[in-house]
Amino acid sequence: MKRFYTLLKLEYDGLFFPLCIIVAAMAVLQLGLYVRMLQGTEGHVPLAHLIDAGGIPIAFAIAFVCLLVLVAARLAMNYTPSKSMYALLTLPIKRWHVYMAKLASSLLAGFMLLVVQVVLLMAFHALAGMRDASVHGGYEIARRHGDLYLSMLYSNFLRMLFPPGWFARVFFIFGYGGSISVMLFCAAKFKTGNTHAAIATAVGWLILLMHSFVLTDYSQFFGIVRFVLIIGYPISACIEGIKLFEKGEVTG
Amino acid sequence: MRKIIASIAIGVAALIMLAASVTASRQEIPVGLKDIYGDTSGIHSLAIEGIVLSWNGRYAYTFGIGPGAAYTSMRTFTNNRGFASFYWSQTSRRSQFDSPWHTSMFHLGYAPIAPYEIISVESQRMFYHGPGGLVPGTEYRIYGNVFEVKPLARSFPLYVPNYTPGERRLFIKYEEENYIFSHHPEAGPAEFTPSIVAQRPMGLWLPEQLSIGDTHLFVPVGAGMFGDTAVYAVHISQGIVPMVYDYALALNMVQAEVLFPISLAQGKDAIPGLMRLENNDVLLVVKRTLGTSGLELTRICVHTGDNYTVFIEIQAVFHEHYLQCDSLIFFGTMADGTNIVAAVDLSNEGLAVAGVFPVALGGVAGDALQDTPIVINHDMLLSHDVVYIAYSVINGDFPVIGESIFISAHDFTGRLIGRSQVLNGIEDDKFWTWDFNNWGITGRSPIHQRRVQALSIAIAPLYGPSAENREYLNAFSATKEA
Repeated sequence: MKRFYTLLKLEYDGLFFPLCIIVAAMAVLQLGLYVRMLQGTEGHVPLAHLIDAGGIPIAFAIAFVCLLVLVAARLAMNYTPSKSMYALLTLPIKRWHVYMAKLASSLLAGFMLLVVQVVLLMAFHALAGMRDASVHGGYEIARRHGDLYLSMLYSNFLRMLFPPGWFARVFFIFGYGGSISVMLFCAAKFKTGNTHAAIATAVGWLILLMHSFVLTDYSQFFGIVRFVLIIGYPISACIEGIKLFEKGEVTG
Repeated sequence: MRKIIASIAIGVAALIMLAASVTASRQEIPVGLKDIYGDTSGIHSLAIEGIVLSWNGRYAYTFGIGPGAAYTSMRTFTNNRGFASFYWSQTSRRSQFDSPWHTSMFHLGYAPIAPYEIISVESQRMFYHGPGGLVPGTEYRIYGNVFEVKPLARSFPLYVPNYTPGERRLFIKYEEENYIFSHHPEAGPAEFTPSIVAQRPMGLWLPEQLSIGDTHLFVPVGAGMFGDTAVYAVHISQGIVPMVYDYALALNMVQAEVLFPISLAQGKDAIPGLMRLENNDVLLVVKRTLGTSGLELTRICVHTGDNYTVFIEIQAVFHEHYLQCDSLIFFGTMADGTNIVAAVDLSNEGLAVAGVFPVALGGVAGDALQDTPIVINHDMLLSHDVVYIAYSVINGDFPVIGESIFISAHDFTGRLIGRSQVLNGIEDDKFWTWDFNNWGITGRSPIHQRRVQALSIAIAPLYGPSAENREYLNAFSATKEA
């Protein structure tokens, strides 16, 4: 396992710097949008509204897409210009460990993106309280009480990121992490020259996500079919990705 | 590996911090269903909102709009321990309309409200089971285990005696469409079936003149139902709980127009003070903005037959109001930032109009609270003689049981006649929740007497037996004995 950890570290190191750029850009963008939203409102505005209407979800979505691109690019870089994929597959380590190291480091990067969003959320709450204090005095401060909790219920964005139920949490975790897993698999598939399969896989996953999170009300996605799909799809992608590496097909 | 471990550690710490903050935030909500029924996370995704049509102390007749899943969710409710008692009859009482909103539906039913507290998060007011506890016309929302009640922003019931006796009309604006429903609460829950009786712009309901005995909804032609400015008037007769809503006025306050032909010839210079109203008088709340100056005036007026009397006209924005037993209380803010409270006492004996009570934020001179910020707690008690306002001495917290408060007493002119010493740690929840929020307006209940007694004790030591205060304290005693 020590070799696996070493590889994991290498992969994560490779993601770390561009990840920092992504999260920093997201933080700046979100803070800017939020402050603008705060300045444009008067009186007590619930935190949930400030977040949902202030463009915060869009900024997060952009950052997440950038992360997916980063994950794919990181894999692509093993082909050009270094062609290090050949070196990876000849390392004294099981080939599926190589894939898992890439997947784990990518998931960790996704986790860090969420963490930054958490920190920003706390900052948003504090900023709203400070604004109320400066504008309205203690009266408005009191009205902020419970706002953080309620924002987790009211805000569509936060309710999606941090669902209040265990069932939904599982759903979100697989939806979020599954996107990274599917993206990694698609990148690998693409590099094998199987472009159509890569696109079909990505589109299939996108349709599933859209149906689950966007087109359908959040409270209605507990259908067993969708639940099985949302779990099974990324796991299947992971297994197929491992097979690609095991068979050495990723060398093209 | 240190970078990976550090990343994971930071991430876990952040999530723990978030969980702790959210939990603490949840605890800031004094009492909710979560405390009554425990974990209700099974219905977390539900979001239903509607209004309380009527409330008889045991059952709340509700009407609401929910998401597409509402029907299913409500059946889930019935299987959920948390809401089993609340919506146990929903499935048999509901009524669904073929609405143009595919993702929406109406639900209707009567919900036996358990004797638990219902919280109002946005206004930080608490409504309680009991007389006047659940105000008809309040809007409720259920988000998971949070039951929220707040003054209506977009819909309200209106009592229209000109129509079928007992008929209650419900005006709803939803997604830019106006709907009017009517129902007959006297017919009982079994026949509690609303129907769409009209669908038209609300502006058409602006009457040309007001007649004694009528109840009308005044909405400016051309403006949204809850648009820039509106005037709402409600009939007051035979002890029927009046509904006066100016809440929407506070939502958008940019219109520069007087919308209601109020005669200012009489009562323009009325000094706020005791004023008796007769049955069938109409209470109005009017808001206007003068020109483009931004000067906002809010009037609380009375239609006393031939003329309108403006008994409160003040440069303030009343942003909150609520009906507590038979007193109508407005909270507002003046242009200089001073908080203000206006109150109207509505009793069976007639309507005693109380005055305006400027409430300045600041410390209490002469004691340790000199620099302590004080926030209006929205707990205001009104008798025919004295208005009591309960403040909380905050440390950033919403006043809860165990926190310190003090109470001030005002006469009808708004003059401060007494202020209690700081009452540290009100441990008796009955004292705090029931006495201060629910009961004790007219002195009919035993609990009210206990409250008055407690207040007398609290105020007396600080304000001594001066000649003036003695008079008021005597009034206290008289009220207590009554």
